[in-house]
Amino acid sequence: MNRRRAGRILTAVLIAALAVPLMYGMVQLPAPGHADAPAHTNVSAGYIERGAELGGSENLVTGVLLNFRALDTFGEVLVIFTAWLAVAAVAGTASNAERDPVPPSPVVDYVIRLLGPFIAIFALFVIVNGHVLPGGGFQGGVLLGAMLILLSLVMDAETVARAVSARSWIWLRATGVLVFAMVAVMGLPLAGYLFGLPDEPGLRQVLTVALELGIGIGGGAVLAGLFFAIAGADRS
Amino acid sequence: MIEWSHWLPILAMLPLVGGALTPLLFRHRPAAACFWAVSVASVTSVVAIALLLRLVDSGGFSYAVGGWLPQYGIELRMDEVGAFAVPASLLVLLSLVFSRHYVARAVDASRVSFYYALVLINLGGLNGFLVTGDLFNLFVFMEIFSVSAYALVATAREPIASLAALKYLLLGAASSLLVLFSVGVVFAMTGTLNLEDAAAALALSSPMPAGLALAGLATGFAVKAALFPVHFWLPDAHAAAPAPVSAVLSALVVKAGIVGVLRTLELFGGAESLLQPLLHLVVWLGALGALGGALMALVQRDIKLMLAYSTVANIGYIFIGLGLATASAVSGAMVHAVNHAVIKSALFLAAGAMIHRTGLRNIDDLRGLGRRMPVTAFGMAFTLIALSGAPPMAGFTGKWQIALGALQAGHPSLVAVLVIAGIVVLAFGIRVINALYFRPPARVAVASATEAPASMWLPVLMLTIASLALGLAGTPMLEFVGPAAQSIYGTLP
Repeated sequence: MNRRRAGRILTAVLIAALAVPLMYGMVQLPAPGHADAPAHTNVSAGYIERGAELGGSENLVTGVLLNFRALDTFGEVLVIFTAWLAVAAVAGTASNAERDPVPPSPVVDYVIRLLGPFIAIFALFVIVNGHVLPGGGFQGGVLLGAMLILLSLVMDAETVARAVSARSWIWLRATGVLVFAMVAVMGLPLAGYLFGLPDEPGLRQVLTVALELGIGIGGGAVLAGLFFAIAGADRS
Repeated sequence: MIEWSHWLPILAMLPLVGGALTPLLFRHRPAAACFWAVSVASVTSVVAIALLLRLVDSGGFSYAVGGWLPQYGIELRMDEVGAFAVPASLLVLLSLVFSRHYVARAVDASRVSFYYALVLINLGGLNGFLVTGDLFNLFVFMEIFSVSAYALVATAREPIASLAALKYLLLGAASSLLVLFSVGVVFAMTGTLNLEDAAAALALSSPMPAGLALAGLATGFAVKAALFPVHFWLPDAHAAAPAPVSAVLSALVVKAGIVGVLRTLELFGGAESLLQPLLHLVVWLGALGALGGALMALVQRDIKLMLAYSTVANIGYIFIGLGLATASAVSGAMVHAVNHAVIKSALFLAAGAMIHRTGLRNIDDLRGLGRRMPVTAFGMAFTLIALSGAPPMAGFTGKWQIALGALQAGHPSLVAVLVIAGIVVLAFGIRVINALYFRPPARVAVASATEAPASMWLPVLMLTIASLALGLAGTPMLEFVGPAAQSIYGTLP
């Protein structure tokens, strides 16, 4: 008991000792939002000035994500897919889910079933309008995943997981990676560089929306897959 | 004809996409998944070698991803540090060949395709990490190879594997967070993520927030590299993982931490007042790691734990070299990173072949195996001697250069550390060799064992030959990394 207490005190002292230099350093940083801070004057200023025109999307964040720094985004999409691979490679394969003996109340059940289609439509809206409005593939994908998880709560995870065959689930989860890789390779003939988007506005828009859709569908399927794996409903 | 530099992003994209496709195409066909993974790794190796030849031929080159100017987009670049992609791709290739029979027993059949996918993704993350010239991109690729490495440790069936993986995951995630935080600090100070740009801006900036970023980056990468005293996740993770994964982790993934430290030094090259105390600290932590790792290796009974502790010792040597900051010590450390990768993967694969054939991993239980598994045992004996740093094998070059650097920098006591650690390494090497060759079998499994299949002994034999060849090629290797060492540190004495 005493040792545990001593350990806690030691931890607190260590955290404090670390926090002091961290805070001291942070205070010295240029104030956030200050117009002269390098974070706002250097690269960001360039993005704001010409980013929409050059990047091809009115939402500057999307322009940075899918065009200027597309390789980073490809990496992040791959990390999400790898996270699912990791869970699938480690989680128990046997269906070991303990079924919840108490069904959710009829009100919850009804409300979730009622909301489902609306969440799906909203997710789709967020995904395909990512280049003009706040949102995009990642955000829409989370909405899709959340909808699937909500449905699993009232309908039983295995029923939701079986809506699509195990083989198709894997392909859905890899959608983001595959679509991104395809668009990246198409950049070579269309823009002269891997990960480049063409200058022609119509084609660029199509590819941007394709990327958003891929990221959204892949992200949603991975989120649902993580939930299924933990709930023991994953048959892959 | 595609222009040369386009192959640079392909170096990372190929294994990443190939890895993602593995479970889609070969989920129920483990043998086909292995063949696919070996093919993808072979092509990646060819690309890496072609890029290396180009680098040797006409110097470093860079690639503007998406065609954007370096500052606005992401710059990939091939330099002498990025050339580590060649040993990385080749070692992963050999580990994949070795995996064919090993994994069939060590990993559940339903997960074999995930295993190969994760190994390929790990290689893609490493390659991207090595050739990127952008700070945030560095973090993204680090996450790719880290997340896949955590999972690969946990694919082993041994019950301790999940615990070891969890320990690795927690420390790895904390260190990733430190790196991300520091990248944020650098961006807030400079407004750019390009390594070269940021380095130029940091040279002029005030020391305090810069010191914070330096400390965060150095600590974060030191955890990934398993520098003493943040090494304690390594022995369990490397010993519990399936043997080919241990080879990849010990040979390559910890070296990526070293590359991260090199990139950090590059970033802060202009801020000498900040770097000096850090380099000083690194030398002594490296010395403690070298001695402590070697001694801990000596007292292990499990052969893979012994090898894992020896990795801690070798990381110590490399950090001594980096911290001494003399031309010979730094290039010695960089060469040792490659040579240790070759030697240690040979050792882990040989140990894996022995465990595969006998089911035993205790050094005392393995005695008498030298006659039963002649090629594997020869590979292990030979590379153990190479590991101790005996000339003319690969372990010698780096250690000799680091010792020279220690004398130049006026630290003769470090030479003593290197010599003592070398003797300890030789001692446990002789202990294993003695058990393998000069003692009668004590276990039925050993007495009835036969040589491992060719997919196992061939990689071991090739790595054994490489550990001699790289030792003989010491001078050209030092000459190759020399300019990089100079440019990372500015000027070196």
